[in-house]
Amino acid sequence: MAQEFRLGRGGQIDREQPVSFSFDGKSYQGFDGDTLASALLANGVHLMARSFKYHRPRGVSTVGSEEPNAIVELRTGPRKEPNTRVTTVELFDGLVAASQNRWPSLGFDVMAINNLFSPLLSAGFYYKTFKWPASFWTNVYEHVIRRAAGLGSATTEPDPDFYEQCHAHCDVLVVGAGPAGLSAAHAAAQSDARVILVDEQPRGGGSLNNEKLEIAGRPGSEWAEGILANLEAMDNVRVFTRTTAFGYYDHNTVAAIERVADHLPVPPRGTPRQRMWVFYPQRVVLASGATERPLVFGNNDLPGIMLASAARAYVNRFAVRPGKRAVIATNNNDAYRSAIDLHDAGLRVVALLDSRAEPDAPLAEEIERRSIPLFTGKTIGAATGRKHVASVQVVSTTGESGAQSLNCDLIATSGGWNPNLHLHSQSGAKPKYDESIFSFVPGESRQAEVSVGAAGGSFSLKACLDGGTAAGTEAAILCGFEGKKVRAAKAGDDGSYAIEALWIAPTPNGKSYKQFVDMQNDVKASDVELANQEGYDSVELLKRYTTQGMATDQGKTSNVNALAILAGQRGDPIPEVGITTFRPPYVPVAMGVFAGHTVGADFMPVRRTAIHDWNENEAAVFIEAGLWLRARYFPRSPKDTMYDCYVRETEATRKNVALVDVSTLGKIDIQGPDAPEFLNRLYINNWLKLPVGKARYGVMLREDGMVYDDGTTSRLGENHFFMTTTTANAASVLAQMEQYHQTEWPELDVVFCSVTEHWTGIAIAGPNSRELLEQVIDIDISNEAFPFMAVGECRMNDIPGRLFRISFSGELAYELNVPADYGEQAWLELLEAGKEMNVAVYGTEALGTMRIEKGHVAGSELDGRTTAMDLGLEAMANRAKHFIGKHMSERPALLGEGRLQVVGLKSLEPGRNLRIGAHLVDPEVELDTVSQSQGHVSATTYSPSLQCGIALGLLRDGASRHGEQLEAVFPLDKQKIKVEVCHPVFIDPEGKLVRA
Amino acid sequence: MLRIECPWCGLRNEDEFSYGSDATVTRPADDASQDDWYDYVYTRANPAGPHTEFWHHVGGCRAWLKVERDTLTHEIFSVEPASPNLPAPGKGT
Amino acid sequence: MPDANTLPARKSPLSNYTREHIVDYPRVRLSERKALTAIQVLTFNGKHAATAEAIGKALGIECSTAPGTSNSDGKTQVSWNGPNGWMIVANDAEAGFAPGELHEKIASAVGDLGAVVDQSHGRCGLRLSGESARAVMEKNSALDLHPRAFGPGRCALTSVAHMNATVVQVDDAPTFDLYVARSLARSFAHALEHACHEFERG
Repeated sequence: MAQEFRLGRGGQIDREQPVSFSFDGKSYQGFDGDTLASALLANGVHLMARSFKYHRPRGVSTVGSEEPNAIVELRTGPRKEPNTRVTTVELFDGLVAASQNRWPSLGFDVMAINNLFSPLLSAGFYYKTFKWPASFWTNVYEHVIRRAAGLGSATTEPDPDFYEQCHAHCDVLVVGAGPAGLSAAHAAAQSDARVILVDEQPRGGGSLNNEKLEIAGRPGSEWAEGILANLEAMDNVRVFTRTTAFGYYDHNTVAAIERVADHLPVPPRGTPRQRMWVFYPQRVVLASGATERPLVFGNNDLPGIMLASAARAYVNRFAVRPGKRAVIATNNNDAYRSAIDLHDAGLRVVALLDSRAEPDAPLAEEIERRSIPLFTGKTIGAATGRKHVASVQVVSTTGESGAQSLNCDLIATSGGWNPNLHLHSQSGAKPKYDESIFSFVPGESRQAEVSVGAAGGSFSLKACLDGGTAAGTEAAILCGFEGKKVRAAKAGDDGSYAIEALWIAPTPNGKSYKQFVDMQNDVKASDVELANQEGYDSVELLKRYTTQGMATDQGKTSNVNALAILAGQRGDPIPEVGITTFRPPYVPVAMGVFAGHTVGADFMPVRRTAIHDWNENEAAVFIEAGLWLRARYFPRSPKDTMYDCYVRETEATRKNVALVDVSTLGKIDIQGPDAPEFLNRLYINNWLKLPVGKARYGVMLREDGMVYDDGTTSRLGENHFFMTTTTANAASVLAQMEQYHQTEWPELDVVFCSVTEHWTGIAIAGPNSRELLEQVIDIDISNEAFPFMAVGECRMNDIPGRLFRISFSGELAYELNVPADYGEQAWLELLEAGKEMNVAVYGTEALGTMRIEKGHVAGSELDGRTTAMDLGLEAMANRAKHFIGKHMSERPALLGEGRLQVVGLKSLEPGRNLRIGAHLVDPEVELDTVSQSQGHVSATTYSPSLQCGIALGLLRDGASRHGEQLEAVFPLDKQKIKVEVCHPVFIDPEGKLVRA
Repeated sequence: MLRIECPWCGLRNEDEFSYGSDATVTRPADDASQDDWYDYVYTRANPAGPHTEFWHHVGGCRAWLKVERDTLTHEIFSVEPASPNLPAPGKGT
Repeated sequence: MPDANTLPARKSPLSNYTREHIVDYPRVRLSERKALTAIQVLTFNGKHAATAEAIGKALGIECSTAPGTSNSDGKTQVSWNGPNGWMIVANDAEAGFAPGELHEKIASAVGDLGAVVDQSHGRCGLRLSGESARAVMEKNSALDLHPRAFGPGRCALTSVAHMNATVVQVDDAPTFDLYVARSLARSFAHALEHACHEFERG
């Protein structure tokens, strides 16, 4: 029969909206408003999971995100999500869920045999068992443990949904929309503060939805609805439901996860599945409520055993009977409400067991009026049953022996309430122990937060409403608003919360039972005792040794019980034992939401030059250079290899003329009366006398004397310079210039900014470059009028630009800069002008080949360990002036023998190219330690000009070893190549070509 | 996450800033000894507690800032412009 | 000064979007503002106030030394651009400037007080407008754009979608002008376009 356990009326479900779903392949029906937990219970399904270690049958034991037991795999295919708590899954039509951690089925699980061998699986099992021999760690044990460990399995398909990260500011952030949170938000909003209210449930109201409490003369949930409607209508308030604040971070930032579309089969178009919010509040009011803790007794993990508050929530909120015959056990007043609500809903309450000798008189009267058998000084010693609880053994808490058996199919227990301190603790505060509630309460605030209501340890409804209201007004005042007096809503008297400690029940007839403390990790009271005996006697060690408090529930229901039992074992008071530090996230958060939308092609922003589209149309192969995409080479047919391309492109340049896009070089505009002096301090060379209209190659050092960056800088006017940097260091050179200018030399009257983006840079290189350019440039570029290192304003056809006679290739070359919106046009016009000359284009690969042939050092030689002397650049240094890195570069160790210096290397083996990273070794030596290496290969290519493999390398005392023969050894694949050391400039050492 | 109050831009997230260097060391004079230069480049106090650092508002106004920060608690006590010559926030010179 | 008639047409960084607006939904619209002139001014030591005054006089638009402010005559925008400078942006055709005229005007006003740098082709301008514009922005920016914290006449240099950007609020629609480095324009527009999709049906 469908929904056999659904009550005939009541509950916050829509009986007009039936919802179909399946669990382990079987179809069921529930209603809109159900969670997967309530819908399964409505259908009489209690067995929902197998436990982690012992594979014991488990059912749902809570009604919220603290659920330790009933975790399932939700959905199928790419959206499959393991370890989902049935209590937080909103039912939707077509929902598919499956149990996990069982084989072959939930009802018959082979691994349940672990339950029989449980004495072998005690605390510290892994540490003790998988210790020796060490050789087994990775090859044997890891595989064994991996197979046995873990619960559900994640999908291996790509996630079809997307995630977002958003930011929101407010004056007052209120976490939790229960009676305290609603009151706080309402009060703060009345004072005109900007308020954000978040709650993890689909509807506000918090505990009011689960209880039959009244506020202002009407049901609490109705009152909550009214307040929420008011808040949502105010333009200074934002309400987020299905949103869990999961982390409280430095500087008063709070992170939350909004489950935007988890309650739907598929997110609507354009909508993320989940969203991470970062909130920036001035003040935070934590109204995150409290979590009930279970009693610890024998077999307390059987399906059909749940928290007392959960049992009444299923009845009140979901109109579901979690059983027919209930036994309720408590050590405090609160569970009396469960007895009353369950009874009033038509369940038979077989017994209410109160471990205290003296119950609260008015409550006892209520119980008696309903003829519910009340037993004082009694509790549950053990439960019995196989896949469901069948009976309880009632024992005395006052020392009498003997046990009485009662039949039941539902046990609801309350061991007291723990304020939800997670966010408070994450904010840096230290919770303190409160003897009156036998739990921890917020300590002194470390950030701008306050806890109210149950989260603050005040459990009565009146305290929540009054405390929340006061805290909301106070928060607004602290934000600078004039606090408006707001009257707290009036609640009926819900009695006092009185509790006596009962941390572990006596076992009936002295028998031993499994008494679970942490159900999710199968940690028993005996494991806590064992850990203590073996010396793991602090809470932090206990946690790591037994795994208590780990996994999806993070010990929400088990932490306080565990440390109280540990305190009992140690014979210390609970405050001395302390509590583990809470760390984010409060609930499990999917990795996807941390990544946000920056995944796949959007992982990083991409920088494109103005010539990018043209390159793409020409089927260029791109290479990433920082965020830039640069054309690496241009295949002319599908068969072309990179080698074919760069050889062709290099030859075209060396023999004729070719274009290359150099827009990615850093460009910095520098102006001011002190600009020359500023450059003098940045670079090792001299800038004071550089004539206007000329460029100079410059080298910068770091403060430690190592070469930092290089490039050409041109003097455009008396006080106006134009600097270029390497592509890689463009941002950091500018930042360093700003640092020196602002922190060290603020007196220098100079300003500068990046103009990288404004200009498209095109190099025109090759012996015929002048001939090509002359067709389109409006200035005289003859060698006499525009010699090597000349700079000038020009127009290329109709495009205004700047022309630089500089060369990276070693050929006669020019660099043309045009405003970027004209960049593609300029490129096309140059190609058009060179059409009859057969102008070519080249990419970074040919660029690299030519710079190696020319012996220009670049990033692989400027590796942060080389000095100007090492790189053969020392002649440029003017040591009569001061510059960054001057002193440190003069350290004796950097000037003496044994330095790695840049050299050229020629492969002596035809057809074999050198490899980057190969060690340079004496041919007599078999390389087996790095100390035998005399240097390494830093950049390699095949040289079309020399027709052999060449390289640049850094070789010990290399400058004086030209002509020597060495071996370039690549030990990883035992490669050896004979090489000859030579001058790093392979072609045109006198520089005739560039000056032609 | 740190939030740093840029004197010009206001309170901004850490990801707009990049850490520069220890602001308690002084760059020696041009003619200082090698030892002084060595200390300046390599010797750092690494305090656990209040510390003064240079941060760059590189994702914002590009000003270099002198930030007094507690390295243990992340508390920020003060943020000032590093340069005495940049126009003061809000005034202009 | 270049002759307007001979200058080639400018190819904007977002020319890959062939439609008029990148996004055109009932409550939010995103468009590229093409062919902008963007002039960056940086002031020399002690010349900040004088430069502000000179620019203000030359353009007839207030050039404010107050951080995070932007003034406009509806066509030319003068926005604070860091402790010692401004960015002045206009579409020449809209504002009635000949090519190079705005640069010239500012350069002669500033004279020796500071540096005047043409950034016209280095900045991509986008305009995000409509009731949902703030909701789109909060997906990509940590700025507080609430009317109590921001508004027309305010600007900010900040990180948007992990890229450095300038945000200028133009009006209460709200309309935001966003400026980002040209090379990043497509990644930037893509991120904003994506953030708009949620509002496709209003």
